[in-house]
Amino acid sequence: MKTGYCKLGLYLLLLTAFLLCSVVHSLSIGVVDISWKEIVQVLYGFLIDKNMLVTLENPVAADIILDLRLPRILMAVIAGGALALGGVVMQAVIRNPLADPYILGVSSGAALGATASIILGAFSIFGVYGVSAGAFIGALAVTFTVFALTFSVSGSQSITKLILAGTALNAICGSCTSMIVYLAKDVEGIRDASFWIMGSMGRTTWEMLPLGCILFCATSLFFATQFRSLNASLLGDEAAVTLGIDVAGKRKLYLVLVALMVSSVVASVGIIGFVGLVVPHIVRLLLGSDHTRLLPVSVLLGAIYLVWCDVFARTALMNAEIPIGIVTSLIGGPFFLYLMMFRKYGYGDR
Amino acid sequence: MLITVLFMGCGNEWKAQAPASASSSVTVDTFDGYAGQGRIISQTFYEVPKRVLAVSESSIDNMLFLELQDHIAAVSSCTADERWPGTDKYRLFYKLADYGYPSKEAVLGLQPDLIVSWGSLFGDSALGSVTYWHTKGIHTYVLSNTMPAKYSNGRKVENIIRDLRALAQIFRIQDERLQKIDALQQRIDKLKQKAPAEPAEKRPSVVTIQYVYGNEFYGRGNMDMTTDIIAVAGGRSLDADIGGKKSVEYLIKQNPDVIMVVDMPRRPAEAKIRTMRAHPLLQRVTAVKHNQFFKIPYRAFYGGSVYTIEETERLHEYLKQCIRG
Repeated sequence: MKTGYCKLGLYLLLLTAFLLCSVVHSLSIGVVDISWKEIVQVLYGFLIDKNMLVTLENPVAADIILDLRLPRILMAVIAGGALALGGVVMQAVIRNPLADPYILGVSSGAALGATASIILGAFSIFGVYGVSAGAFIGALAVTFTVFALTFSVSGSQSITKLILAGTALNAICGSCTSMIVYLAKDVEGIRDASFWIMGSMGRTTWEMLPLGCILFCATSLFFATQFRSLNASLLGDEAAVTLGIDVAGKRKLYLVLVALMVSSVVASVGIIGFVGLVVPHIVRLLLGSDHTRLLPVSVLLGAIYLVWCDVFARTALMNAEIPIGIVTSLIGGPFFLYLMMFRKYGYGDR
Repeated sequence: MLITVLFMGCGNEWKAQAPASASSSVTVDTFDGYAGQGRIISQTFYEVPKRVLAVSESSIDNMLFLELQDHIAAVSSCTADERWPGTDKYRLFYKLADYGYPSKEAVLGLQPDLIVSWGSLFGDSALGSVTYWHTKGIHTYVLSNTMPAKYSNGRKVENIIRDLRALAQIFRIQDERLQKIDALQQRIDKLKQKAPAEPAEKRPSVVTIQYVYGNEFYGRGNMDMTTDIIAVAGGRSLDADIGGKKSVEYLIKQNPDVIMVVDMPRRPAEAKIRTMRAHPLLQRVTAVKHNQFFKIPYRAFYGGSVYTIEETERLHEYLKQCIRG
């Protein structure tokens, strides 16, 4: 047991170090060449001595590092970690390997809110954050409707009802979004909405970070105390109850926390698929289903994965960007299939 | 991490400051783009811009019309379609991005002092709000005809003159180039004067089609500039009833006299016309029956430039021929 914890500690240490190296190294990657000396000067100037920023030889380097690269890299860490954490929790709570945070209707609600904002001008009272506000409100409205429909009954039946309600509301919101796009006569607005839905770190500003960061850190810390309940959830409601766990109460709490955290991420960066679904599966393939390992390793791996997907998204084309939602599936999909083909896979008690 | 983000989110004190000199400054009104709310914003130009990023054909065409090619540092989102006159000049400029819109980082790296563009460049999926660029000391000019339809009162041929005058003001143009703008205005006025005396319902009816897909088509709406181009040319636009993706049934019901087909580099008008002429149901439509198709280049109908006015004049002549039969 002690050896197991030492091994886990080593994994976490290595992954954390790799994540930090990824964050720092990705600051140097982009369409504009910025030397390491300039990066160090900018970071020193920003964190310690602001006067240094004024005296920089290349002031554009400060703008690019501080305005563009650093916020988007930090957002990639938050979004990757949050989506992977959401995926782990959803797969445990719903006991379904196909579950991801979007099953609650977060993505379709956000897409509807964002599309209504971009094409119809809804949520314009929020100014330049109208699209993000629309996406956040849409995500929460749909998710809490799913909860209201689901928890009108109790017991194990509620899981099936949650999946069905989520699927139905996803379909309804998808239709409403398509209807808005179909009736729109503004081709550029349609393009803007479509690109928003595909996800991008490029729109991240410093103002967007605190909400996502607070929710992610608070939710991560909370779930770090819930390994036992999450492990028991995989065994089924009856087994969990015999272990003295309040299954119904915990399930509601877990779903609300995941919905809030993922909604804040989606509102900021759009819909990024695959991370929440597949990162937990990849970790499960490599380390097994015990949440003591699965949860922290998934969070770190999700963050690392999204940082590098973002690097690829902003450098693959000359001076333009690929939406990150495309990149996450395109890179992760084949890797996941490879692991699935060549490694033994188990889920929960199966 | 939480502390770092909260700490960093508190201040942006490294923002660029505007130059102090205001001796020859000019203030110009423009729009705030798709990420804004259709607001008109005033910008003060303390100096003549020297490094312009011109995004889209219409931005470049307007700059070239005012002979400002030496001020262009880079171009983007333009297609040099050899079928269109003057596009060979696009190749003279450094092309910032080959695909879609340039990234924020590429634009910052270019260090322009002015971005002349479509409104959608300043949308959430591209460069974001114009405010960000202004805080960096980079001015923006959004072409009047490219604001989101929901915020505009319709796109007008006349707005091209507004854009040209604004650009002339920004670049402190005082010479015969101002007369070139006046001459363009006179050409628009002349077209309007030539409008037929008969009531609108007796003028040739025109619809604008951008894409054709089997039994469906995509038509431009009444907030697009095509509606005004048709009106100025002396036609009657049916775009209000046709805009959007619709069944060919609508086309049969509207039965336009002329179909204006948007000619795009990768979706040439000729192929769309062939599809419509081959469609058995469309044989009942007057425009198809009499082969009355008018091809309008994409760069002329979207955004607007001198080429829009040339195409409007050409449409005017074409409609006259259609009336004569």
